[in-house]
Amino acid sequence: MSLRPLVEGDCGGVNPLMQLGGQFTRDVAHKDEGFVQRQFERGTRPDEQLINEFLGQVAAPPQSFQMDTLLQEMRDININGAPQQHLQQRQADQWSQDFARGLAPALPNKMIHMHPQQQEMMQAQEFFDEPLISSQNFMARQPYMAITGPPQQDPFFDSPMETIITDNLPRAAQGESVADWIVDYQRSTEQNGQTASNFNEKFWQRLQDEWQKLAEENEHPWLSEYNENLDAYKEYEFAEENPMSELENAFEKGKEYLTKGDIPSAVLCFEVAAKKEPERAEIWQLLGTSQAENEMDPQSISALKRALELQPENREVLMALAVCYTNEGLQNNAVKMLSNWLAANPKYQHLIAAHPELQFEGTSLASSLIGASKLRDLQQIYLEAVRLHPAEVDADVQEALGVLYNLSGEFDKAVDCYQAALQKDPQNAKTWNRLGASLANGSRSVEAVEAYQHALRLQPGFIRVRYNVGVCCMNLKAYKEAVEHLLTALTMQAHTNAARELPNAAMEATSGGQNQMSESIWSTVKMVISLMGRSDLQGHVSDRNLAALNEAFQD
Amino acid sequence: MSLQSDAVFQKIIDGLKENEAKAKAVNGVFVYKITKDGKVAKEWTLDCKNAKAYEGPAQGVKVDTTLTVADEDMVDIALGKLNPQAAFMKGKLKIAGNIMLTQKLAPLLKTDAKL
Repeated sequence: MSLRPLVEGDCGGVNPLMQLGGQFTRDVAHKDEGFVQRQFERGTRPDEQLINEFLGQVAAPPQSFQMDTLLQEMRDININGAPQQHLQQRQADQWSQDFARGLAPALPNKMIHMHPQQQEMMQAQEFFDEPLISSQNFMARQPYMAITGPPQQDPFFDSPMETIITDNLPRAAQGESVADWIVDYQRSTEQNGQTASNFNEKFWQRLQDEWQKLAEENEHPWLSEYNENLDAYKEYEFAEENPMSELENAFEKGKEYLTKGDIPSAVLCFEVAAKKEPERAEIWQLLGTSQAENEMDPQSISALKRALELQPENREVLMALAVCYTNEGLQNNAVKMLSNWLAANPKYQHLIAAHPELQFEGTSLASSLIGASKLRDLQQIYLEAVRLHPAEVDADVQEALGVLYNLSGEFDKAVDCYQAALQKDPQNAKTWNRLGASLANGSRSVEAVEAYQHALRLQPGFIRVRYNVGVCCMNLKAYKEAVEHLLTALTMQAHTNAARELPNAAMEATSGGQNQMSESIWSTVKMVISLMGRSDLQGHVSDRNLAALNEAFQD
Repeated sequence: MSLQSDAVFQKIIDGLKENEAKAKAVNGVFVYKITKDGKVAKEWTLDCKNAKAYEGPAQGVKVDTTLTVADEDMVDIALGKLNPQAAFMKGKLKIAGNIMLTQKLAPLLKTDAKL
């Protein structure tokens, strides 16, 4: 509970702190206290249910393993029976029991995160943090807290808090109840502090050293990661041999191809246009969004960044960049983009203005230490944006929220968002794709394929969707279908209509078109071929010999 | 001996080479012991600090985490059919060493659908 800030931010070793934290959260300890059973039904449920329930929580990767380590350490603690912790436990339990007695039938024990309650939870959690910081033992810890970010929300700590709060506190009286609790807890903390100061001192000394080590170890990689990634997408790589290079009005031709649904051809045209007029933001923007649909995220990012340089408040560019960064696993950058999106939107500007800590100036290095709490904060702000107009769906806000939920691994929530967006605009192939991707990443592969089919019906040339279908088939172990879809996508990229429709259609065999085929698609082809056991075809894969592969799968 | 999971590790090798920055962000050295019929059949080292991966035990670097898993389960994890946390809790995936670091490994293993 109150030790959350200390326990967060594990970036490495198993912390002795886990021992202390663990015993506040495990049912076993509470059962010993004879605490109200219903609060911790988890302990009595069979293994599977426990696992599934646990996984049903926010399952952003860094959090989940803590539980098991806690379990382990917990058992150790129970054996050793640290006395003062036990005492603290008693104190904590007493106040809970007081509340339990004084209130109406408790709400059912829910570990599901409910948004309005979560907000109240946030306030409550801040209360919890305070006595912690003021208590004598934790004073020394504060500076290290700052260094050792990113604080990571531990679902396991959150849930017992939620259950305690939701079960015991009626919304109306929450303010007072929490205040009383704080006073009691503060008293108990100070008492315990005195009785066990010796043990604590040694303990904290060890902890302090560990945190320091972690801080030193981890700071540099984060900063360098941030910088490297920025540089990795600096320059846009134009196609070496662009068959469209002699074209006049390349930009217009490109837009034509887009309306026809031929993405690879459009990309070639936009490249020509961008070379000729590099100061026109709209060209870079269309080039960027088209490359994303072309399953070429790195290129897309380079192009979109150019567009952003020219037009820093362009909301479509910000959104598109956020999506690309999400696909590339660059969470912090994605959060930054979506934060700027709100700031650039007159309807919601005031929401983000109230949270200066989420504002990012251009290349603020501090943003590399953001982490999961900023993601959660931004999710809350977007939810506020939704609540501003409850009767009307703002498709863009839903899309952004969907991206944020993909980042936090809450795929089912992302699915809800995209379904809402689709209600507003059911003919949007990009949204269908995002719905499908959220389903697929949430392991709902069969439903994902349905969503992808919708997208393809609307836009048959949507390369990215075809790639996603291929990945879906692979995950369902339908390897032959997977390969076929992937090869179709590659073929569409390699043999663009643009090249064919040229007057001087002396288009050499696709060797010139290497740049236009997605690396991601090829590497997935490689994996599928390997899983199929067709190692005889691997040679063609490394040679990027599309023709040979197409022939091999002709039947 | 060729195992199903060879495909998975090939993908990881390519992924590390292609995006070195992402690899170094993981910043750990992992050894995977793949078992077949109960016995360790192959060992793979994922050296994220140097952005490379290869078959066999770790060479010249200190190993942070050792994971032991069966061939079929490794493939299932890579295909998203088996959740690594669930696998760990059911005992299908054994982890020794720095458990926290394996969280960062997850995106390298799975092929995500693109938004």
